[in-house]
Amino acid sequence: MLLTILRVVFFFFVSVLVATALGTIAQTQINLWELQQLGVSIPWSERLTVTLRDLGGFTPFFGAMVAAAFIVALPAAHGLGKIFKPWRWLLFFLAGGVGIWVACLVANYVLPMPTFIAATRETPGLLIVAASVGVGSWLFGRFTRPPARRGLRVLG
Amino acid sequence: MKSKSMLLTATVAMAFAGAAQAVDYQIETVAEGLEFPWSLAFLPDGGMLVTERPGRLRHINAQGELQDAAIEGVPEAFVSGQAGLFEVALDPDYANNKRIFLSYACGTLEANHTCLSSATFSEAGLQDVDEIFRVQPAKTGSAHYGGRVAFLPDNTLLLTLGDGFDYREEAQKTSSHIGSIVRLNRDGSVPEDNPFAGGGDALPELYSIGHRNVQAIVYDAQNDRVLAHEHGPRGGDELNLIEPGNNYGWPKITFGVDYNGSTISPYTSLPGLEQPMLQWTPSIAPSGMTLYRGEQFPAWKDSLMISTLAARNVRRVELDGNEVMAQETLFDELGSRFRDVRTGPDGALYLLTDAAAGQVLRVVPGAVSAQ
Repeated sequence: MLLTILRVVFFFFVSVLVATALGTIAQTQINLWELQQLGVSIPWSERLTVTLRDLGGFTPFFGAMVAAAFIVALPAAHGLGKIFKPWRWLLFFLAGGVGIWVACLVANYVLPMPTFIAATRETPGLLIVAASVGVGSWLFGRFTRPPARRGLRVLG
Repeated sequence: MKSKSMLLTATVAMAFAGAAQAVDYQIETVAEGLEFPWSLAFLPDGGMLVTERPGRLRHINAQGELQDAAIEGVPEAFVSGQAGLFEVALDPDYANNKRIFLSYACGTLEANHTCLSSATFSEAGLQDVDEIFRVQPAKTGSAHYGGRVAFLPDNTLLLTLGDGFDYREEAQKTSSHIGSIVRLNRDGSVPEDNPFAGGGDALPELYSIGHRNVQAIVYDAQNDRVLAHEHGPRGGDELNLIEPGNNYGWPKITFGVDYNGSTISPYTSLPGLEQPMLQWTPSIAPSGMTLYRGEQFPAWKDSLMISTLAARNVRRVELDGNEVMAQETLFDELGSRFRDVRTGPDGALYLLTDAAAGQVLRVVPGAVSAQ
């Protein structure tokens, strides 16, 4: 039992880490894309530097948002996954995406600035960030999927 | 004008270029109980007009008494977050025409603007209120409006604007007023010699672009120059020399990062974009500004006095031409957020504190102390 709990906690942290990293990388590329639309040149070296900088500077806030979202979203996906078994992977993916979307809405409501994460100001950016986080939650679903039943099913 | 109370006396030690000076001052309360006072204008009779961000214009009479009733006839402001009534400024020809200018947020949460109106002032209320400018396009949200006014000697005025927070890219577009400074005739018409008035898609009111949230602007008649400061994000507050047609870079270049720690731009300079005279990182959140040329504090003469919100003090910035030579922090002891700082006609320094029960403070020389 203890090992099972530790295993789930470990997978939770791995999933949060992956979701935070992917979401951070996505928001950085969206912000740089917005600058490019203004005619600013972003060489690959600069893109890499900014991405690494954001992985250091943005992740503390974003990681907390992802963790808070996953604490609610992953159990919900787990519960729904028992009912809609064929869609379990999709439910986990959507849970992370919807979870970070709700977390963004809460942050925008609570904090003084209108939009806490600039990359989510418009729908395409929000969807990209949400999908990136969804990969993390999907990964958790993959880690924790129940073992497939083997052998003959005997009727009666 | 009689002050209501004396708060304190303080001595400020300055150490500029190796020379130590002491400036003694005392701070008097002129008026209190003002709800988030935003701007202050001095009437020729010795009275004052003060705006309160929730949309009221208040009158302090020549005897220094804050009148209970707000001035009637003020245009309705959209009040939410940072939105509300902002600047009050007397027409340079006020003695003859009694006209004042008011800037404010107008519209709704879903579609709002920075607006500028002029009106004829009397204690009975405002008359002949005329909206002379409205930022286009409309924006949602209630942040970053700018709203300060400065008059130029050619009978035009400059109105500072903000980027609406979520619209930072608009600051680089000449098809939008958002994130710019505009120049208007005092009736709201467009001066023909505006830098972007040559036709095409550019809005003719634009004077300079690439601003985030310009919180103060001063015309320095002695040196025929315009100085303005603006809020950066987390870091990167700027003091700029404003010249027509210039692009001040936001958000292509900035010394700040986003509040969440992410990078807004990898660049602090790019060709064709103006550099600030001074930038503050971490942010001080500059609010008002006056170029002090009063007689009461000779040691502060020709200094820029910049009130701050986040830093809770006033920065005295000493210039040599367009170069910043030194900075000094004043009035820390009050622990207040300051919304505005003005030079009074009496040569005293006036401060507005940013609070639900805000004050008008007057700084005058105190007893001379031994060096």
